[in-house]
Formats: sequence, C-alpha cells, structure tokens
Amino acid sequence: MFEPIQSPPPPPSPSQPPQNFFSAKSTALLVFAAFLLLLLFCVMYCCGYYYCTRNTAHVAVPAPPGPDLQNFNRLPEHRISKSSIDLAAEAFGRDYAGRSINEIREYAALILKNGGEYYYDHVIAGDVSRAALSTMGYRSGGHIAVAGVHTHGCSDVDYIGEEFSLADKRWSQDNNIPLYLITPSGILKVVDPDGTERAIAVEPPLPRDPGYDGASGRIRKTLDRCSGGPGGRRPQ
Amino acid sequence: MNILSFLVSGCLSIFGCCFSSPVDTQEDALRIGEYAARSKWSQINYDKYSVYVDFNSNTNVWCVYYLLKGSDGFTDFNVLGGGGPEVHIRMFDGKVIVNALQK
Repeated sequence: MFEPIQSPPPPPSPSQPPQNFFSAKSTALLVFAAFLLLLLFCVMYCCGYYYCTRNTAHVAVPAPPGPDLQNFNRLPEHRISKSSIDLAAEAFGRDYAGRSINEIREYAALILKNGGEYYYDHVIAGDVSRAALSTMGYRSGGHIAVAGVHTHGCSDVDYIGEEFSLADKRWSQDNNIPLYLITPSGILKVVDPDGTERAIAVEPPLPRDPGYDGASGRIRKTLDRCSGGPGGRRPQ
Repeated sequence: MNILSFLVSGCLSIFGCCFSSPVDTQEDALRIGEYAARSKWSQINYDKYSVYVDFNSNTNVWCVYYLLKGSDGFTDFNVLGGGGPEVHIRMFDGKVIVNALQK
C-alpha cells in the first residue's frame, strides 16, 4: 500500500572535504614522523660510534722511542747507592724492566735508605700479574724501606699495564710509602699513599715492550706469549 | 674497524643512552661491577679473591676491584696486582668504563 519513501542522496557540497582526507593527512604525518625518528636514530648511532671509537678506556701517554730490549738484559747492579729515591727506582728499572718484559713476569723491590743514600734491594720475581712485596723487617733500624718499586711485564690489552692498579695503590696506602712503577711502555711513575701520581722523566729512556706503539700511545699488538697463547700464562 | 664493531658500538651506545641510570649506592655499584667482571672474566676462580668497592669523588667513578686472598683466607695486602678484575663505573649513568685485570 505504502511505498517506502526514498530520499535522494544530497548533492556533494564543494566546501566539504572528501571522506578519506583525514586518513591521508594522518598517513603523511606518520611517514614524516617515522622519517624524523629514523634520522634521529642515525644521528645517535653515528654519535655513539664516534664516541666509542674515540674514547678508549686505556689511553696511555706516548713514550719516546726506546732502544732495543736486547741491550738491557744485563746483570743487575746490586746495592749501588743513589742520591734520591727517584734515582734508585730508575736504576731498578734499568736493571729489571727489560727482563720483566722478556720473561713476562713482574719484578718488585724495596727501596731502602741507609744514612743519606738510597738503593734497591729485596728483589722479588713474581708472575705475569702479581708480586708479593713486604716491608716487614725494613720498618726500623739502619736500613729503612722508603718506597716500593715494581714492573708490569709486557703489554697486554686485558691488563691494566700502563696505570697503577687499585691493588698497587692499596699497597702504598697500607705501607704508607710511595710505590714506583715501570710500565711496559717504559714510563717511570710513582703513586703516593694519598693517591697522587706523577711521572718521572728519565734519560736515556727505559726499555719498553715492542708491542707498545709509542706514536699512538696504544698497545699495537698483544704478543701471543702475553695473552695466554703459546707459552702464555693466565691467572686461574 | 670492521662493520661488526660499527654495529655493536652503535647499538650499545643507543641502548646505553635509553636505559642508563645513575648509580647512587655502594650496593648498586657492587652488583654492576661483579656482573661485569664475572661476565668478562669467567675463567677466574673468584673464591681466591675478596671484592672491594671504592668511590672516587674527584672523578665520580665507582671502583670495584678484587684482591687476592692469602693462605689464611684473608686478603693479602702485600700483593701488587694479583690478576683480579678492576671495574670502573661512571656514577651518573652506570656505564662501565674500565673492565680489565690488575697487574
């Protein structure tokens, strides 16, 4: 009887936007945001890469070019008195630094004072990463321990070779005397019980490990014998 | 420098920036330091070492380090080096900046 009334569709208004206008705009914004995010990611990536490659944990002071190690494997001069602690430590370095590098072991000694003269004595041969040095028996009397001195053997990227370890600093604190170090790169340095450090200029240079690159101040190559390769040793 | 190190260092720096947080307590420093040391130096027998934590207020760096024990089971303070790990942790973001063995 009654036919449904069907109203005709309204004519499209020219001012009304098409139905997919907002979705297209959102998509464009989304793409733009993704592009910005990607750009930010790339910038952060490059910055991080630059930071990681430019900031290494162990950057040592470049050492002057030193002579060959073979010339330093001579017998130690025992009890040659020096006029200062620094000179006695330097004498120990000349006698034992080359040997320490070649034998891949630490050497340590006490610097003793007798009157106004200083000399090193009580030399201890340690192993690849340690040497036990006691001041017992040298705390009073005619020969008093006024410092300790030790070497760090050869260059090895796994070890803190160019710096004092915290165990070294602790030794200096506990014994209340300075501790000298001859690094694999041939630098002589000292740490005081209060933790202050200084490097000591020596001439001619002390022997240094050929695996240490003096130009860049970095370890150029870790020798197999140092890193647990053939003949190498590691703490277990 | 090969492509692998480029990828690894880039990713580490990005994730490090995203998830870094300051290390305010000695316990946190010890936890991070022990994890870093034992992850990298798993071949070491840690029963032979005592672990210590120090804070360097000049550099704002936590130092976690291992000292060798003597035959009596207590730390032997006469030992230079000792082969134990030494870990430096930057306080403001917890980044491990040194993780190496002591000589």
